[in-house]
Amino acid sequence: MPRKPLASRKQRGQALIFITVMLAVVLLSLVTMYSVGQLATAKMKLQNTADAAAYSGALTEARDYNFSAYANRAMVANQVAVSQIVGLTSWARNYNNSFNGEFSAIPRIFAKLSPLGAMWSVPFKILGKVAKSFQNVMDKVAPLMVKGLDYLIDALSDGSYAYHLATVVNLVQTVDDVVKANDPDAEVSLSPAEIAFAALHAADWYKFTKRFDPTLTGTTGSADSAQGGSSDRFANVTQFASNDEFAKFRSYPWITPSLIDPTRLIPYNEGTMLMLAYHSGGTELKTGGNLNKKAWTALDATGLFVIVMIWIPVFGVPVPIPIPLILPMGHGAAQAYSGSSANLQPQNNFNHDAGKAYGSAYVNPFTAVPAAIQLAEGPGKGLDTNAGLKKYMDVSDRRSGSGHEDFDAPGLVIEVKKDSSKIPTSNQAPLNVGTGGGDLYLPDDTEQNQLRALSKAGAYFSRPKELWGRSDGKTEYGSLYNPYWQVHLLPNSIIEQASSILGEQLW
Amino acid sequence: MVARRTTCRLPRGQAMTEFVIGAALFLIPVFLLIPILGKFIDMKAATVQAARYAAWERTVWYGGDDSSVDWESNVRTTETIRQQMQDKFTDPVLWKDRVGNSMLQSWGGDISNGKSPGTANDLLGFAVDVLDAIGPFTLEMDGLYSGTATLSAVNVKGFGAPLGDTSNLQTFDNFGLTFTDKDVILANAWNANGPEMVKKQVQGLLPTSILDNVAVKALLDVMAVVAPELATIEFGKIEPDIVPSDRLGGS
Repeated sequence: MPRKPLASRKQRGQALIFITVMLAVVLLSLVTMYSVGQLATAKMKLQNTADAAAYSGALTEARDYNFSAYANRAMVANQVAVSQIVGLTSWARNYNNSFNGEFSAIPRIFAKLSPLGAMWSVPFKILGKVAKSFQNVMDKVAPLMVKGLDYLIDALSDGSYAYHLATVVNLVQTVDDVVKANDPDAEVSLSPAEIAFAALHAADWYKFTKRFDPTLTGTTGSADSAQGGSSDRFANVTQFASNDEFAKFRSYPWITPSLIDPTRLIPYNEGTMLMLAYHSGGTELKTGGNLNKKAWTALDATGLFVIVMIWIPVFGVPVPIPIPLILPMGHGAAQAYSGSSANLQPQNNFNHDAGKAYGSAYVNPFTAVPAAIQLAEGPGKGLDTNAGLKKYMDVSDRRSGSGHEDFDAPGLVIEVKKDSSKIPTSNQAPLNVGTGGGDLYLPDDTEQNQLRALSKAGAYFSRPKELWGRSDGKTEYGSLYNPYWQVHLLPNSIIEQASSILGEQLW
Repeated sequence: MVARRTTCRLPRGQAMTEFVIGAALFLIPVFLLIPILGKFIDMKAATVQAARYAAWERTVWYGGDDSSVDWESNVRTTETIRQQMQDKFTDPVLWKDRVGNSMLQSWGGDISNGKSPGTANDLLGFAVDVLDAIGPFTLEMDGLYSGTATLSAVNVKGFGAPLGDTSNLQTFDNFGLTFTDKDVILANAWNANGPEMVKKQVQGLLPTSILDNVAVKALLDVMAVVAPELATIEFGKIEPDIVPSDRLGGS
């Protein structure tokens, strides 16, 4: 009898206890599942934030490199334009001098020595007028144009440098803005390890590019020469590779005016048989001393080649004696320089030895005399005193060869963190479950009450052949001459990972 | 006593009844909540990853309708990316309730293009605007892309009614869960889309490029009859592939 009520008492609670315990277990697993789910998505989100921040930070550096590349390419093109204007001015002065200068009486005399003289003298007269007004225009316009171009070159040189320096601030602002935009509760982690990585990156970034002065003369042991002759690299791209034929070598015979008188082949028909003007000229970037890569000078000279036919009877037989004459016809020069000692010397011209200088004007027998006259007269007043190659940015790391096709700039390590209190797990309001301790204690238990995510990104130079192949089929390595800098995420090194895991515990 | 005997035999059935009622009212609904919660967690994770996908697409496709038209190869529109977000990240098989109805009510994605951060960009942006107005040189001064994903789950029905409470949260009948996430990234490194684009950009920084036209060329060709060297002038000459020789390797 006493057993039965006991048994019935036991039974009555059995299902209730079971259900209560089960309910508690299932509810706790639900709560745990909720918290784990929230933490997992928060971690994903934080990793996304870190990746976006690292990518965006590295992108500010890639933008700087590409901006420098556009600026460098534009500086080269504008230098080419300066050399064209200096060259065209010199050419116009020479042209006018050939028709209206101190030697212009000579061709008139020889033209009169031929019945076909009008063939020369008519175009000579017309072109003389054209030449005069053309020189007037160039003399007025050229200084303004060269000054304007040099201002633009200065703006490109200083602008790209200023933007490069501003990249430091730009990067910090960008990373901060991007982190906040992704997750207002997250922030860049500034643990001592991360500050050390940032400092290391800043040092690597600073070393990665350099501002070069193309007017410096590279001497052995100087920083300039250690960089592989930086002065000549920019000048090579400018004068040697990007300039046009007009600047390099503009030496041609002029077709009009010219005179050919075949009647001089008739015995005893004496006088001028041939008149031909031959022009030599070129534009040079001066080298050496104060002028080094700072002066563009141009020289043009014209010689007149005349054949006068004389017949003499030898035992009654008419024998023709053609007398060739080479006479000066005209000369002209122009310059844009930043010093006061610019000259037209055949020496010290970039990439051109004395034989090639100024379109070989000094060695060409037709033009040697007028060129020498112009040399003595000098290059005339400078079109602009602020001329020459200007400072430019380039990579200081010039490794090439296989393995450097994808040319990597230093990687940027970014760690972002978020307080656990900002992640809506069961521990946080409004639930506040599992925080009390005891058997139902379910803490989030994140390391140092934070979530942290680590990422790394860097700029790299890539010019894949299948997309933007070069016409010469060669592989191009990274430089600030071409804007092919992109950004990619990079794997974190074991040291970066370990520092992130240890976080602030390390200190 | 008799009644006691009867009641004494009854508890066996009572425990069963208790269990059935208790299970039906509490245990089973809570059990059923587990997969639902799991699916909600998956939806939230999908939203986070879809937002990332949307923003990162713009690191490759700079932006068609969202970006400057001067940049080529921007064929991927916001609409295309939105469709791809849906195709890649929604899971119509998993996201079903126990009856088989879809738990997904609506899905939305968007990409917007905001101004690049940084004081230096404010200053440069002014110069670029001026240059862009007079020539073909331009730089993307925006490029801060925000990819947004929004997922609305359907109301889960039939959980709250037994609790006898019709307020929103407890019945679940009007429990409209919406997950949303935004991923923001600065993209477009101003890199060129090939040498032709470099040339075009530099033309915008080269005043003499206005002389690089057919009329001037024709005039120079006519003048070359007098002086042949005039035909060798190349106004606005830009050589986008010239680099120092140490920057070139074998083919």
